[in-house]
Amino acid sequence: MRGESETICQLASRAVRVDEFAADVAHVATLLPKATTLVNLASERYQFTVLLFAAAVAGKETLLPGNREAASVAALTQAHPDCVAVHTDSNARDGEAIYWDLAGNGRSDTPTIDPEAGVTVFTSGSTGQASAHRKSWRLLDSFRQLHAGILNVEASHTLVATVPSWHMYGFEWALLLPTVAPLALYCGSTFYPGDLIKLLQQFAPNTILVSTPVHLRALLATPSRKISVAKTVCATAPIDQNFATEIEARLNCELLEIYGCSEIGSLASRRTVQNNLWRFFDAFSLQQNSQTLTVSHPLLAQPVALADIFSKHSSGYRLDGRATDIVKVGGKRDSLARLNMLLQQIDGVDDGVFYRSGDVGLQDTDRLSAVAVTKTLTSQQIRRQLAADVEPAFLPRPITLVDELPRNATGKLQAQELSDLIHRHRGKQ
Amino acid sequence: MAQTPEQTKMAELIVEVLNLEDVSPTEIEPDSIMFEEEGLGLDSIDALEIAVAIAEEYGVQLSAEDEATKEIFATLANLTAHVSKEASASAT
Repeated sequence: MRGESETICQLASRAVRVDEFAADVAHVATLLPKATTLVNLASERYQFTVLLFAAAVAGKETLLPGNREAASVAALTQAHPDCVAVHTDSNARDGEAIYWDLAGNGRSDTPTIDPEAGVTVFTSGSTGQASAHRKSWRLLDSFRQLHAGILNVEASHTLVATVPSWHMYGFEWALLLPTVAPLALYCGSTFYPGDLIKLLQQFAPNTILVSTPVHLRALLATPSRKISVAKTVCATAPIDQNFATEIEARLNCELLEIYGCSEIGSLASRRTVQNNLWRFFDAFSLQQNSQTLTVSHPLLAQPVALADIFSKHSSGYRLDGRATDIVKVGGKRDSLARLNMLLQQIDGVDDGVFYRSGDVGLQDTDRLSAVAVTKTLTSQQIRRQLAADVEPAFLPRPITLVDELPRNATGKLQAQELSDLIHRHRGKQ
Repeated sequence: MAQTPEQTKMAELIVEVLNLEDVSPTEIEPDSIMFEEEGLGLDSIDALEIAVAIAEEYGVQLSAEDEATKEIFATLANLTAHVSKEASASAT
């Protein structure tokens, strides 16, 4: 645990000490609604953190939806008994609003977390079909100690995260970590590269940057004076060694990549510039059965079979690909089969498929594209129809319109033929 | 409403950055919502990519400290006006 006078959160206006944070948590725990389950919708990082720990201290369940749209939140509160959405913003929304003086609640005894209470993170993606992953505080406590050991910082650092705290990765590496490691979570905006660069310069060199390939690419594309951070942590999608080398050079730091799954959380890491093999954390035991790697942990109710395919090598595991058709864009996931089905169901679309630019030999864009057969619709109309069921991150761009898809006799689409078709058409545009 | 030349230039940048090969820059209505389902379906990653391209092209760094970032990104007209204003402010 951390010393009372250490900084745990860095608000835009002031630093919050550990004892002030504890007092806020103890105070907010007394303000919570009676419901046993809360949906935490606080949008500011510090308030979100306090509300989350206050619920744990009060022995309540917390739900963290990946998608915070009003309709999704309403569906969530209806699906769970005795559940209410809680937010801290003044603009009216459904649910209950809680206000308190930030870091202004004097002192209190250190509040104790109920280890049986839990947090459920929902993986975003398919609308209305998000899957729930609950973790008890007993498990979360064990994991945050584990991650602090992996990150391994001794002196005080500012933690700057570009990922929201309500997604699994941000929850583990931005929100939980400062409660056990000597880190002060920066709670202002980190979204635009210009803002991020200013921050990194302001706190240099004692900064830990918790980010994603998308945000790091934007950062590298933005000119700036040299930046020095202590360490960069990257997750959500694997990066290649060239990109990792660029990041290390530009930020003058080590880059640690994390691999995880939503059922458990972070599982493995690698120093990408040195070795592209993943080292699973010692706390997990692994079992390889043909292509499937199964992970277990003493506090997990059951082992989890990973959706990715790994092969074992002397110094770690190589990620060989996805065992399922799950696609990830910007940390969100959906299934290609589902996306294809939605596309083909649109009135006026005779046939169509989604594809990744990288898979057909075009420059990879982090984005999905699609090819569709239609006599009546424009690509804009198709995109608008898809938008009803698909998160914006998965809306295909471009949608190329063709006369027919080169399906073979069994109706299958051969990768090479699809690739040729796309090259012919996109080359013309 | 027809696009101004500045808006057309910004629309070209957006179409280029976001790989909207199937959208013509002149199709983007200056005052209709670009984000959300009804428009081009842009999301926060798109905003990030557009911000990077604007920094390169205009030398303007978008910042969340600007009030109403959401409104700035809402329409082609707003984004063009904001970037022009910032560009001329930094030029003087």
